[in-house]
Amino acid sequence: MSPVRKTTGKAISPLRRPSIAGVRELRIAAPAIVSFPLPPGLSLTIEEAPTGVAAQVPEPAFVGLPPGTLDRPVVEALPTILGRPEYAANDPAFRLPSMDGGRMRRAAEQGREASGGRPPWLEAIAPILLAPAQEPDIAAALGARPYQQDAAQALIANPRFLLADDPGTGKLRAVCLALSVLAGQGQVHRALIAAPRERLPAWRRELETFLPELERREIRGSSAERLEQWNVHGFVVLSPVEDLAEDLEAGVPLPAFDLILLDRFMALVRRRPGEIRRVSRLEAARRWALAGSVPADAEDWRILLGFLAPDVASSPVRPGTGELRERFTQNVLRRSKAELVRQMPRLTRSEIWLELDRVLGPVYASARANERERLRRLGSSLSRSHIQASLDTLKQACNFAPESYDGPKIRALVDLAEEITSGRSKLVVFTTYGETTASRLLPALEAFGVVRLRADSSASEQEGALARFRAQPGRRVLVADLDARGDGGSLDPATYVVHFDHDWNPALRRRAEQRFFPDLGPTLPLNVDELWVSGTIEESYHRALEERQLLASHLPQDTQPADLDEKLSLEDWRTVVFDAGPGPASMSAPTVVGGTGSLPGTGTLRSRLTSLTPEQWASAAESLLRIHGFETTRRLTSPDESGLALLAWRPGGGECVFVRCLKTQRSVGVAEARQALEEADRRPDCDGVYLLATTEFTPACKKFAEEARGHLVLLGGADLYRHLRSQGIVP
Amino acid sequence: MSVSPESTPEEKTLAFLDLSSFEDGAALRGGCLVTDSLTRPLEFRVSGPIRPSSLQKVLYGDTLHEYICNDLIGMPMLQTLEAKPDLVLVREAEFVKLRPRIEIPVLWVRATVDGQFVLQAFPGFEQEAESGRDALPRRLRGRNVMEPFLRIRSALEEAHNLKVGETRKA
Repeated sequence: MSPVRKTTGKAISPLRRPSIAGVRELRIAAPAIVSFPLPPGLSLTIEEAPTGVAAQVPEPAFVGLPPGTLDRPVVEALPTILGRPEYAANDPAFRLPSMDGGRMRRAAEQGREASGGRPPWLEAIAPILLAPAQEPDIAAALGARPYQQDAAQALIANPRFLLADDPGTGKLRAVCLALSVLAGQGQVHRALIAAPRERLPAWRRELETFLPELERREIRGSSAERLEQWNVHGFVVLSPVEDLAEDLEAGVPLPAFDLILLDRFMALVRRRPGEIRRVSRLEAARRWALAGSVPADAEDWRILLGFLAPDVASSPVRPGTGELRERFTQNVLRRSKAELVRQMPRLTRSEIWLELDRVLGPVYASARANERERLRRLGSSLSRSHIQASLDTLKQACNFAPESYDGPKIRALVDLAEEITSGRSKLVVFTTYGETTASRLLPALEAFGVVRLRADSSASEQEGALARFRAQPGRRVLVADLDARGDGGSLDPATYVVHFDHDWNPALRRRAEQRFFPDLGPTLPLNVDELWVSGTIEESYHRALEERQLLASHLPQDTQPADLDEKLSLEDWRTVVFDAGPGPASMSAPTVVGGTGSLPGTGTLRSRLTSLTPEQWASAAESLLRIHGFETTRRLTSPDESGLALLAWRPGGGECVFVRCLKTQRSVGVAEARQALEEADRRPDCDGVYLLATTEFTPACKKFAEEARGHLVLLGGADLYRHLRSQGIVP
Repeated sequence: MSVSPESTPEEKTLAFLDLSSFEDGAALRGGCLVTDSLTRPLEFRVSGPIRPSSLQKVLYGDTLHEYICNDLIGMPMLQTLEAKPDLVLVREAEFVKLRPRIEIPVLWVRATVDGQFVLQAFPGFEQEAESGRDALPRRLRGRNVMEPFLRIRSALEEAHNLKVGETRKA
């Protein structure tokens, strides 16, 4: 037997470190040593020292880039960010694993200190790992039109730029394209988009659809909350202009941006010029503005210049409009729809999604809770009338803040009107709630020159209104009832339609559009915008319609409203839209009590009615009035323990009545009735009085009402209870 | 609109695990890129170079590649991740053998003869290929599933040029 095997075995076995691989080697080596014992005389001794071979593949060192930090090298290109405390050496962002007994960590930390606090290779690798930005050709495939790509090119080429194409031409898409290219090229690392609050949902949706890979942050909430949010990194930061200006005024330290964009610039000039000036103080290499037209006068130009080129604006010499316009020609792109007519579709339909504000949010929540509970309690007696009534209540709750002309929808509409009319275009605003909505829209839109088209006016009056709107250049807004007849002609001067509030049935909107624009699109492309409120019943039924392919944009041309009436079943409405599942069986079971037939006894009845909260009582009264044909109500007083006062109108600005709702435990007498009549007399627009009471009326009061010859209507006691019970408001 | 986050494929955390060879095959490096559903990176780990000697190659034989993929790169790398993935996608088939040792589905992105890509799971875990395909975000459907691996490969090349992880030797 060769002695070589013995020495070879010795050479292999001693490993420096025990390891999995080493153990394998030992197992292999063992037979070589043990199996062949040699006579001592034959053994051969090798003089050289045994040679060790480490068969184990050494463990590699691991270097970690921890969560959320790979975007940071991009930010680090901005010097002001680099100095921020969160980039300190002990930042967990740069923590290395404790493998290798910590030697790796110590070595890396030494290297990091030498490279200014960051692993030296981090900057080189991190950009490689970022998700690729959309390239323009991809963007084009996603639907950007050629003129939008031209606008994007102009934005990329001009660090200071006003894109002032007509509203509805898709400026957001052009900006997204430009952003994607600049991000891909590494020229923009952090962009701030400031716009009126109502405009931000549109940005959110556009960015989410078009540039989902760009990290987005939205600044919102109280000033304390915003203070924290500014420190969170995002490639695109969205902020309402008003909040941004407030934070700047408060001296909140904002991060550095290399692009600032102001949207709805002309609307902001009209509504918030001071805030534009404050935002203008922010430093950024690129400054873009979006508007529906170029400024018309010198002061507007100066505000624009103050934002786009503060250095020029701060010059002691104040140039005139012509000079400003001349100087800035290269930095402005303005194209009307007439110029883009061949590249635009004849009809563009957009949904503008808005959010309830702090005032309307609680009002809506309360109304929704009431309606949901009512529908739930209705059980099997639910009808489409109930659904329609609830829808009307909730949709109107989204329109305006109580006792005001304000609200997110009206602010969005005013901004839109500002942008549209500043480009000398005309706008048609449709409403389904007649005078109820129009009476509050008119004061808000009066400044733009408004004409009212009422559905209940005579044919000649309607023709006259339409003629005024067509002929008078100063009349730029037509507020029309959705069911107004029109005169059969096309409203050609208008190229914008806004559905301020709309019936759930999209075919009704389509029918109105066809009535006023019979050729479906005037000579210029027609933009139809629908205002929707997210987080409300509108979003619920929008989803239901979308699932069934029943949105306005999906419907065939000849769809009639009646075709859709039954597309959503009652159960769909109750459970899917209103989220009001059927109530417990005991609720819908008839209550058998003595006294008034199937009704509870007088004592029980009173206790149930008087146990209603003030708000429940107010809602119940409003529901009752709707059943009596008063589609619209307005509260004159806040509900309290004694009740409330209301005004109620029949549809189309018909009969108006004063309503006194009394919450009491004793019978209502003549004194209360007389007082209600006197209150109504002080309101010349009131045609009569409704007196609602949670109890019965005295015989004298009933006689008094008879003598009022229809001017005083009493509703109370068993009658009132019957109504409320039928709607599930009381058990 | 109110889909629960758990059921939304768009919200999965994904890990892309891969390795790359350098110096004409003399050195190997592993890389693991953890991303959100839009393939935006959340975490990236790169191993130092692994340089098996000629003798080691002989002695390990066919088991060397498996040993490097699973014991030297796969397990330690996945164990040290701070962002825990819902799904591990690999381009190298050997990594699939990690599956019995970890609790996360591991799927091999395998190219087919007709140029398509399919997900293949470790034997006994076949149902994960089905669910993994459904969980894959829209952005990664079709050929796009390979895109993050290209990023890893580029990053590994850059790391190798910069001698990342070779500090112990120095």
